[in-house]
Amino acid sequence: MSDRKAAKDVMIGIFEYPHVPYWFTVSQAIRIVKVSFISSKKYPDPMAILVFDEKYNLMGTLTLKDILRGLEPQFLKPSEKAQVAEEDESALSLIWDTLFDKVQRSLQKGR
Amino acid sequence: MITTFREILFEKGLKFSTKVLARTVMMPVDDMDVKLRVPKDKHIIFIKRLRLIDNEPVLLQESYVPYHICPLLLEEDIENQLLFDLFEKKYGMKITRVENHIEIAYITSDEARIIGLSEVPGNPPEPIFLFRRDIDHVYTVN
Repeated sequence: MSDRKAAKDVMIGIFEYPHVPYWFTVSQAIRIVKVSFISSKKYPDPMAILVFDEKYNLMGTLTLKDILRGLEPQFLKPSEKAQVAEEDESALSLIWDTLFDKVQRSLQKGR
Repeated sequence: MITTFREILFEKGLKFSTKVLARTVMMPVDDMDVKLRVPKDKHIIFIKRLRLIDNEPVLLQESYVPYHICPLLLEEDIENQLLFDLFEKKYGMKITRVENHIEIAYITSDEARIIGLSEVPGNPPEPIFLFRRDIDHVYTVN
């Protein structure tokens, strides 16, 4: 039965995701995240903004993690100067990598 | 009765052309949701066109249309067709109110580049006329 289903039958439509042209600023993107996900309580998975060019060609996606990286590139990297053992550094980076997944899961539970 | 830019120029016998610089989809920013009367999380079609008379750029036009009103606008020939004509003749929308706003603003460096004005360092930006046209519509049954 499920063999007959096409990709379009199970896909998430692109209009479930916010769209921005590539020339929008990061601060405009943050406002769109607030309005499209947080205020409207919609949490698509992945929680991403779609970025288009001037001819409406999809160029890429923008996630919360990308925005954080754009604001502060060091946020998502383990600090080289941290006075911790190497294994602890990787643990820290793992926390950052999974932080938004945990937030997203808790938000979805609260729906 | 709505007179368009194209119609005014046609009456004067001027050769008029249009170049579509952008046609894409975006979310409302600033107070666009209020002006367009759409929720903040609704998609908007953004169209940017350069109007030329005898191949000289004279008007840079930006249009914002709520996507749900006319999704097929993304596929239409908007270089040779008027948006008003498309809305009224093809999509059964009746324009019920047009509000024109005219103000003087300063050209941005991006706009100057598109129009082909060269910036002179130290000189203030060129003043331009800024027209804003707000449109209301109803759907008609064909």
